[in-house]
Amino acid sequence: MSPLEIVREEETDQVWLNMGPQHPSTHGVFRMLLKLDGEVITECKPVIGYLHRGTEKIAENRMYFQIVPYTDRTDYLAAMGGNLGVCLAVEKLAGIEVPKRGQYLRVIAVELNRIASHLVWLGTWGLDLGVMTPFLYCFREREEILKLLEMMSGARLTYNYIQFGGVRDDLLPEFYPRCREFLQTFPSKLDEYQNLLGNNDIFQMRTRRIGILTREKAISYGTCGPVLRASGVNYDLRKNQPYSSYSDFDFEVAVATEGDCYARYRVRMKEMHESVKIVQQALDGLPEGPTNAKVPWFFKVPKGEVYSAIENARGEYGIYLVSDGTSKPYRLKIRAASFCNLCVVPELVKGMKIADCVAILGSLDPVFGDVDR
Amino acid sequence: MDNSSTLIDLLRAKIGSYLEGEPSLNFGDVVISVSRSTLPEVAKILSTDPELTFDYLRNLTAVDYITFFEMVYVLYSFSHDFRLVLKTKVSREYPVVTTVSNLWNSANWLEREVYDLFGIEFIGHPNLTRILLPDDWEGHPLRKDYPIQGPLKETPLRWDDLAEKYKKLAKEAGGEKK
Repeated sequence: MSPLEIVREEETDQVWLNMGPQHPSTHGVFRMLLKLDGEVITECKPVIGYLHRGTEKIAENRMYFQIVPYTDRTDYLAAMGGNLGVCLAVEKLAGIEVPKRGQYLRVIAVELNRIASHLVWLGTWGLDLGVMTPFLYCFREREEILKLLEMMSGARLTYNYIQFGGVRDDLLPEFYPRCREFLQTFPSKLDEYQNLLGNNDIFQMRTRRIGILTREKAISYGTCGPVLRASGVNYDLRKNQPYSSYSDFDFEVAVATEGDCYARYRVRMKEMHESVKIVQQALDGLPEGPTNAKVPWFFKVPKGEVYSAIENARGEYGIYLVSDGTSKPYRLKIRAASFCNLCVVPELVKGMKIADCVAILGSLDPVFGDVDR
Repeated sequence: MDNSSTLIDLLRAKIGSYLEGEPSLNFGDVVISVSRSTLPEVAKILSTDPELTFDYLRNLTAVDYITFFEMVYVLYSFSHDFRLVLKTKVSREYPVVTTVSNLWNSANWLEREVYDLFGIEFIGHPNLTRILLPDDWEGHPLRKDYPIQGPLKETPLRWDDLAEKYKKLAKEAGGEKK
């Protein structure tokens, strides 16, 4: 027997490694059981549910206007999107028309929130990959957005700003110059991030050709948002099923074809550029008039059901609403974008190293309030 | 672009014999319902037929109508831009459906969620375990008969009861002073 064959006969032990639920790179409370052969992952079992608060059950026992604050807490980094999702579903079923100014204000709020959400993702993903500096830069710009959103709604994270029939308050006069100044300076900041992070050799080596998700798999796993678009699928609900006057604005859908971590990075960076364009157009074309349709606090929604979805920062935020004609929903299902994006993790990390697993998980950008609901 | 009438005609031609009732329109989505036993065949035709190719399962959920459950599948076709809602009724006494996770991978976790919160079982599912709640949880919270405050294992403790209990214990031990 030659020495080579002896080596082949010996099998290495596979060990189970527990990662999380309190690991900094899991962005919340997420646990992964990794089966390791040396440093290579052969199997991955994700465990979720640590942040399950039963939002859907709570919603069945609340008046419609009481549900909106709960949606803030699902995807808490893009809470405006949650508000908008549930409001659009209820308005569709109840037949409430939102005035044009209200729709534009909603677009401004959601798009600013999308930028803020992507900035948190960029900063924390940088931290996962061992780059400290962009985090500080990203939070500097995010702070400015949070101040703008605070001017709109009075809150910095859980806004409860969008309500049935429109938005809660009109803009303050100070908002316009401050927002315009931000929109003017922000694109140059994005170029700064690109120089700091995107053009960095080490960053590229850690993200290019890592975690490749093919087009077929991306569709079959039901991924949505930037993850789906980075795999070459041109699908954006803002374009495909326009809601809240999105058809008035001229913007491009960010698409990449590689499907790796770097493609997902490029898609989100492009999306921030496009969001700036949308907010700019919405501010320029902001119509005069009321911000709200007259909707009473207590109202009954006619019997029926609807599936309505919006494009939130992480992808499709869908609400499946069944009403039995009372002032409380009979069933309210939240289709969470992070939940559907996360189920692809076992497929992506197979055969990769642990360090790559961190990069892949970060590139999917899960928010665990959204996953567990 | 509204192509719902094209889709309705196609559905009548391809799976007309399986349909229960007429296809209807609901806010731009075509809604069809089929019986539970024909669901696997219908799902297979919907996902593989080249004129339909519903390759994207957007949402999968259930609704508890007290006398029965209703499974709801929201589908989308990228190549033809069709939107479809597929429904099937499941009896409460025998809550079992065939899995569709072999056709759409996204159904894997979504079916586990329905199993967890509604207690509907999926035949042929690769890993049917609880996903959001702990493994030893009792009951299925999104059923309408599940108490909103959660399962009550024992009567809640009140201060008076507790004081009474310890007084009694002390008396039995003979340590109570007068």
